[in-house]
Amino acid sequence: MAHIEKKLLVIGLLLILVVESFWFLGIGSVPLKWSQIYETINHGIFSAEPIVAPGQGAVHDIIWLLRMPRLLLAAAAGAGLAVCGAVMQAIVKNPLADPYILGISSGASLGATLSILLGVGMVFGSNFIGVCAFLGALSVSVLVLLLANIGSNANSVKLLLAGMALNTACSAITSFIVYFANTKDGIQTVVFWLMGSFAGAKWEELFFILPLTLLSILFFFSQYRILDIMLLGDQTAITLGTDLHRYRQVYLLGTSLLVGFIVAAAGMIGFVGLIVPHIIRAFAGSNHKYLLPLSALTGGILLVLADSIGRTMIPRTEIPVGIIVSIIGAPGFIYLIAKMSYGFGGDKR
Amino acid sequence: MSTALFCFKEVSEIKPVILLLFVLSFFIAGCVFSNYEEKLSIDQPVFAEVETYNTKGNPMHAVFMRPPRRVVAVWQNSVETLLALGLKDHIVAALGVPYPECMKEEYRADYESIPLRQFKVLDTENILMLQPDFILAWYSTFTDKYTRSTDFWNSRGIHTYMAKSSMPNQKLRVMEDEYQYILDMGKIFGKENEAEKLVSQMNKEIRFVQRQTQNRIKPRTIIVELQKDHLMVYGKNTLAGDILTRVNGALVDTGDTISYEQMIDADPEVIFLVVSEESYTSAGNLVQRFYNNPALQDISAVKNHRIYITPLFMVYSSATRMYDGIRLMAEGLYPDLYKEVSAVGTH
Repeated sequence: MAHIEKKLLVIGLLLILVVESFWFLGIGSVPLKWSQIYETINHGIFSAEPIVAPGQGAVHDIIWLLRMPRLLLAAAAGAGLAVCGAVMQAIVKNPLADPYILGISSGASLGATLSILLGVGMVFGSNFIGVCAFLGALSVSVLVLLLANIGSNANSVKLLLAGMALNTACSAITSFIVYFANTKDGIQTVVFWLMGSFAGAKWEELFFILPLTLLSILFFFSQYRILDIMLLGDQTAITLGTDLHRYRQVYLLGTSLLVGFIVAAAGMIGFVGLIVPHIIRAFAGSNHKYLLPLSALTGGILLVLADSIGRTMIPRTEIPVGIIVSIIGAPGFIYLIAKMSYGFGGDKR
Repeated sequence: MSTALFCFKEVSEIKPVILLLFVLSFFIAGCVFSNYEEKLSIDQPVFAEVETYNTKGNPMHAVFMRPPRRVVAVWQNSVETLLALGLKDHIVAALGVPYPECMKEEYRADYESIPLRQFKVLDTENILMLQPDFILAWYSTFTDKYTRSTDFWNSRGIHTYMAKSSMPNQKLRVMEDEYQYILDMGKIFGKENEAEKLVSQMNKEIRFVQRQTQNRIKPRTIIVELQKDHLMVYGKNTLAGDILTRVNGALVDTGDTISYEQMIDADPEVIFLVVSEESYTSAGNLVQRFYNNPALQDISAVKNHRIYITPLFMVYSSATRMYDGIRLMAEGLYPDLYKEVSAVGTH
């Protein structure tokens, strides 16, 4: 929308994210006063003592070791998934694409199922489920690329078809394992894991995920011109002097890597990568120069909000964030489709 | 121009931002971890040392400088073992006990005096607010998505101990694991004599049953748990199977599961039906399903009404309640055993 100043929108969303973050830190099963939270944050930032050092009190541990990592992981996952969704929609030139479209989700699910029900990968330590999911996601992405390149160079249609084929194969193997598994606890863990959660957020993981997310977003932001060209199609791109084939592969691997890390840390969180880019396009158009930063901020805001709701909706019970995202995202998305028209690439739909 | 070069050129436009990002990451990392070394008191004498496990499933050596004073005990075996050792004042929260009636009658009053009692396991925030110095639980409790890993608690100076029999990779579960658990608790809290007494009581019971039944024919017995669409079997590698074998039962072990057809074919003389906490109150109905099933009427155990309800807490990671498991199985196999004893006096 031409009359909306996009830079103002970025600043506005940034402010919302900051305010929402403070609100998030006040939410939890243990009620804390705002003054306590403020003092604890202050102490954590300015104290000479490292924040992971023990003996700084229960409130310190709750804020700095439980809520803060969780907040940062939710924001990073939201931002990463939304940007990956926008990039993936450009790569396959399809508005239905999301970060999981090319088999990443089923690869991750298969990895997680193998680790939970068959104990594969226990050598990877306490987060072995996440590591196996990451390896599953990455392996499937590489396989999709290899399959799509057989015969001729991969184009968006070949990528989608290869992704769907591997998706189905991985889902079938996962169902096979679940069907024959004789452990209800294990199956419950698989189901819970597939719905996504930020409950296990740790600083150690964040030192990977935060810089990787920010660097990936910056990288894709620097590629906004190519992403715009991708929406015009391969033939138009060639007439403009750009061969999209190799870009597609680089971007696909980049998104797979980031989504793999997010999946490893937080499980499967669907819908964010699909709806956020669409919401932003409705307000700010399809230019990736604005679409990517706005999607990143909105994705972060959405997942932080969804996690807050998931933790507070039912007392002493946590609802998986994936369910909340779908519950609050779907009606909003339907409203947008019904009420507004926007363009995906050059054409209005 | 090649793609890679083009990508690099595009990226070079944001080089300063990337540099700033790296500097910021290192700064934050510094704030979180810098100069952090776990403070270990090396002057203090060691009070107790035990072997336990961490979340990765690896053995872990736990060193206690003093007996824990604020214990969060999770699941019935943890709570009952501590109460049996006379440690009610050390427990700040008793979690995972379905309802007080599950507790052994002699511990019930002590259980009711624990400040926080609930079936649902607390989340990490609430456990932190209790300021515990020891968490006693199962392997499944210490996961990142549940109540955090042992690494997390240990890094806060809070000791952890998980029952060996709750480890998922445990191929063989035997009575000695439960003895060790009780003895370890005795060591950690300086209650070695009380722990020894509990263990020797169980050993004595086993010896008594073996002596009394040594020349009798061992009844063919199966231990099962009703699942949604099949029967799960407790075989020779389970604690239930080990107890049964030691009280002179002939265990029917058909692997992980058994179908009704196989059950008819095996024709057990005794069936121990294991029920978990959600079925404690409706266990009678579960037994009736066997008695009322026309297809099972030729099974000896059904014909002779020898199906016995066996609460899970007596035969799985049961610690002190293993004593009740021993008694229940011995009495189920040889119903006259304790009647004979009461006729001639105590054993």
